[in-house]
Amino acid sequence: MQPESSGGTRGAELTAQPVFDELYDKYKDAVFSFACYLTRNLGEAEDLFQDAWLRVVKHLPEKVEMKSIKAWIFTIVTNLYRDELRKKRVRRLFLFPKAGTPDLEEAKVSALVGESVSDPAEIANQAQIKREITRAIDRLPERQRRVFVLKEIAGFPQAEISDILGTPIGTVKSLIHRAVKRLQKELSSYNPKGERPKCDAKILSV
Amino acid sequence: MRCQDIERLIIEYSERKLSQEELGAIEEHLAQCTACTCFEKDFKNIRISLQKMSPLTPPSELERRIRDMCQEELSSRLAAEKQRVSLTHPSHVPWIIWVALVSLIVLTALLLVSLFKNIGLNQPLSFGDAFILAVILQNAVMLFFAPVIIRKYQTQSRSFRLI
Repeated sequence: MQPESSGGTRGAELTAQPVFDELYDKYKDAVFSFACYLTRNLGEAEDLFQDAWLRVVKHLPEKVEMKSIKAWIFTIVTNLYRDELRKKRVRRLFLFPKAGTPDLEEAKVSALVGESVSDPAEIANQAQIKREITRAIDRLPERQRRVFVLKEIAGFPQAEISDILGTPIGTVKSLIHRAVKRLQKELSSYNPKGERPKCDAKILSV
Repeated sequence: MRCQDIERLIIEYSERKLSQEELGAIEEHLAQCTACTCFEKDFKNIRISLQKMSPLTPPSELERRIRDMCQEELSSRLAAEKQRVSLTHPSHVPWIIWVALVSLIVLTALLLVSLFKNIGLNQPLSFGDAFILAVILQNAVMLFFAPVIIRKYQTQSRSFRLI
């Protein structure tokens, strides 16, 4: 990502707008989903989404590498969210933590039920399972949720998540592992057997 | 390898190709560990469920607002950039300005010569001489302010393309 140093304003005029449009069209849904999962509140997600794109356009270089631009945009979203959390921390001490607002939960569930399943009972069942997955993700601790959503919703590999969050790769791996374990535990009610098996191979040598 | 290591490898398997050694270790472990088998199955199911869901889309009103704001930001950025370039790299003075200036100087000189000729003949100041003096004064003022006008023209006019 190198800002254009020469070429004058004509070049900037010709490149900045189309680049922004392309980026926006390509990543708006992914960024909005990410914002929703981070904030768990539709109003806050919209604010975060708007602030993020304004910051993107403010710092948008005229010539961009499309490979790394996605990570750059998500880094902006993450940093803005961190700033917002920092501001809210004191206020939240005196307030009950907000659960996901019903409108956002409905939006998430309606997004979940998008497949071509003909049986109404099956559709309802899948919607219920996916609603539980969404709620389970929302209940993850802050850092685990951030890392898990970046990996499984935004589709970043662990190394890139480490760059985006400025966290060591080992910590990222650990957070993802803990997040998956927690989700597995939370969703164990959908396991047909209804209980978690215990590990019967204590330590295996390779 | 411990269960935790196997589980981390299972997670990594979703994003990169594992070595034969790592795959062998997983297979060997899964054959004996029902907990890790269950973890692998649950992780796969969660991933499948998440992949099936379509991404959330921003409301159209919000989208329109963001596009407008970003458009505005890009325009102001472009204007600021243009101004910066015009201040740091002043453009050439258009030839038509030079022609006008030269014409003005020549005209002033001719009028001055004509005026001094009349004054040298000790004739009273006629209406024509007063008019000539007024024109000379006007030309002098214009020549004095010409650089200021040119500078202002260069920095403020965005559509100046006479060069």
